[in-house]
Amino acid sequence: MRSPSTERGEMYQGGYTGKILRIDLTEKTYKEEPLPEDVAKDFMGAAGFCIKYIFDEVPGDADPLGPENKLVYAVGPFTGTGVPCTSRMAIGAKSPGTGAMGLCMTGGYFPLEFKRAGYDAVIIEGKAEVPTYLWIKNGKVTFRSAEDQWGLMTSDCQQSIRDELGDQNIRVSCIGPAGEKLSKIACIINERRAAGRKGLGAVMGSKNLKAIALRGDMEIGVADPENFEIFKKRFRKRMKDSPALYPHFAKVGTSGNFDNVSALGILPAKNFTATGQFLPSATIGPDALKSRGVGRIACAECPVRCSQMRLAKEQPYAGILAEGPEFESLYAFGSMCGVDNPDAIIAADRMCDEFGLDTISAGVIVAWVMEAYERGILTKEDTHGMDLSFGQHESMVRLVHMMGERQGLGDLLADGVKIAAEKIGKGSEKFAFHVKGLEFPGYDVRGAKAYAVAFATSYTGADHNKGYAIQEIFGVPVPYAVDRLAVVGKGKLTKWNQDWRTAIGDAPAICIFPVDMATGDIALENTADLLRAITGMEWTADSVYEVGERINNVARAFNTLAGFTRADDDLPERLKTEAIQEGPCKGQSIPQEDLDLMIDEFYEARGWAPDGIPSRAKLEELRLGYVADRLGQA
Amino acid sequence: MNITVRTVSALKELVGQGEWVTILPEGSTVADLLASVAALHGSKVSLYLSDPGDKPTYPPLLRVLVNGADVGALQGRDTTLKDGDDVLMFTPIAGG
Repeated sequence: MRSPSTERGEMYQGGYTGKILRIDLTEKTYKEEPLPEDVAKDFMGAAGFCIKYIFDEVPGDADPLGPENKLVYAVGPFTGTGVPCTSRMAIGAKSPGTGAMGLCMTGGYFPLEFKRAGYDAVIIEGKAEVPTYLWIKNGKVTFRSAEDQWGLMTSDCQQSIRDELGDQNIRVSCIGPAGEKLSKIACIINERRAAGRKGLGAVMGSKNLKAIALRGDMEIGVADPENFEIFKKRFRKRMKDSPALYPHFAKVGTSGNFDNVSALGILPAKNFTATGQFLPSATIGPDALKSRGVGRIACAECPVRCSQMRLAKEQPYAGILAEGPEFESLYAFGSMCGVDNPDAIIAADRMCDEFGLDTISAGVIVAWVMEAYERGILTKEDTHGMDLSFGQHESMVRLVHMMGERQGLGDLLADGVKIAAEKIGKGSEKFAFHVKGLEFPGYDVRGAKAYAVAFATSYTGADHNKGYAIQEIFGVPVPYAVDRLAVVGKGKLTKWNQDWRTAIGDAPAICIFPVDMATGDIALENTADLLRAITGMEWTADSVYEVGERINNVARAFNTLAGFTRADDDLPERLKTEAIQEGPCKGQSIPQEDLDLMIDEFYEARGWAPDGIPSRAKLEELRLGYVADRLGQA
Repeated sequence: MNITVRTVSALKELVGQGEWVTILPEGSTVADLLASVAALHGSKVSLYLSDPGDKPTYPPLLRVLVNGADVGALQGRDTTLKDGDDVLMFTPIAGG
């Protein structure tokens, strides 16, 4: 067992390993670098490290699938210390799906092993000459041929590597055939968890990198064990006392949200044409899925165990096992496609995990195909004879398979709905549901206006994990209660939602669910207390929040260099020009003037110019003068 | 007056039904409605519906919407109901 005191530099008393691993796939070399103290203090970890290094080292105009792009894996200072629910990590790169900053969070067991392998972050550069996987064990990196793994589905790949290396405790992060074939909706999988969105799987594929395998035994110490135990105990007590976390969430996972979102009248259905009308909770909601439940799975060091294992019962899907479907998959392959067959959704979910495809993007793309088919823009000649009307679940599952293989129509669709709609044209762009090329998550934001601003402005595109409007969706009065249908005040609220969530979730690398359901009202203070006790560094609630703000500004600056403007902070046309027809949000839409008002308010709250570019004053306030220099700010 | 009451998820399990119509006197408030539901269904349900007063839980035990609007943005539990109103109540749960 390695002790951090012998491995870590003097500056880090706990939490951090103090080391970054830089890997050059082209030269097949690697080196360790110290984690700079100012990076730890200004960016905290995980998402902060990814965004900082991508901004610093990847040109804004880099080809996301070219050798200039870099892939960064990073964990947080909580990971490995024993704080519950902190086997979490961020993976970042310039996104092939959007061309913007791409940042995903994932959980499972890989993040914990990553930290124990000895690193706060790994930066992967260049391109391997042949399919390769990296084997990292206690400071040693080996470049291994992936000729036996290339072409394998993700679960077979992970097992193949464990067998090859002779250790069933090895943890693997890998791509499936979709990433190998450079699908812009390809994800990266570890166990059955996904760094799901923005096509990061294609970045790995473009580098001929099939997988990263890890083992490590580093102990991660803390600076102040006495206070650490006090704060950790407080966190655990809050989790235990939550009326939602163990009593309900642990039993159903995020599928519980399906009923809530339906009841609020904002569950998108049939490509956002039937919100409030098609409500399949009785057949694919959490109660209906109970009959398919065969067990629960936890991430490492998580007592909640919220992942539900489900087994399809009816033919032609009987016997297919999935970890899920989670809320977003129930939306994407369920209501969004007009499907109310739970087994079809389980099958599509599992297929995406194996091929390494993002379930949200895949489902939204199928829904677009379905609307195009019903409108006669696509015909059976285009769909290989398949009836692709809404609700046709067998066609849906077959189309997902074709996307994974890049076969036939699947080849067109595998690069996302924006590109597919541009190629097909005939007005289909008007109902392609994405922002900045990232397909839309399961919330009809005509009924949740701050969330609409979050989707329009997030640095990653329409991303439910960035700036989640907890006030509107969960009804929690943090920092204050709101009327979800009001427009004024939502720009300002969105800034807070984005910065807060980044600061208390994505940067320390802690699962957002216990935060949302147990410590949301004290999250900034809780994070600061734990950080002080773990790292020995000065942290306050304000400085924690500031990290979130800093990260969002750097990401925005990167997107500016990549060519994004205010025009890209937009919503799909249907949300602006058509109203919800039925249900509690009947009559709601987001006309352009309302969107403009909210975005103006958002930019003002952010200290950005009316064109959406971060000002020098704001950047310098955040100690980001060098970012302003690179933007050419006067 | 007739009020349509809807509930989902955990609370629906406890109450035993997802939607029903209840009759309340004119001028009744959300608090009156919750008290009537609690009286019908016993302590397990009343735990969720009781007023936390100045010691709110985190997260809130209960979310109530009247015709799609959160009562927190109206007059809270003092919000007056009218004939034909739709009241949705549930325990907030996180989602993806």
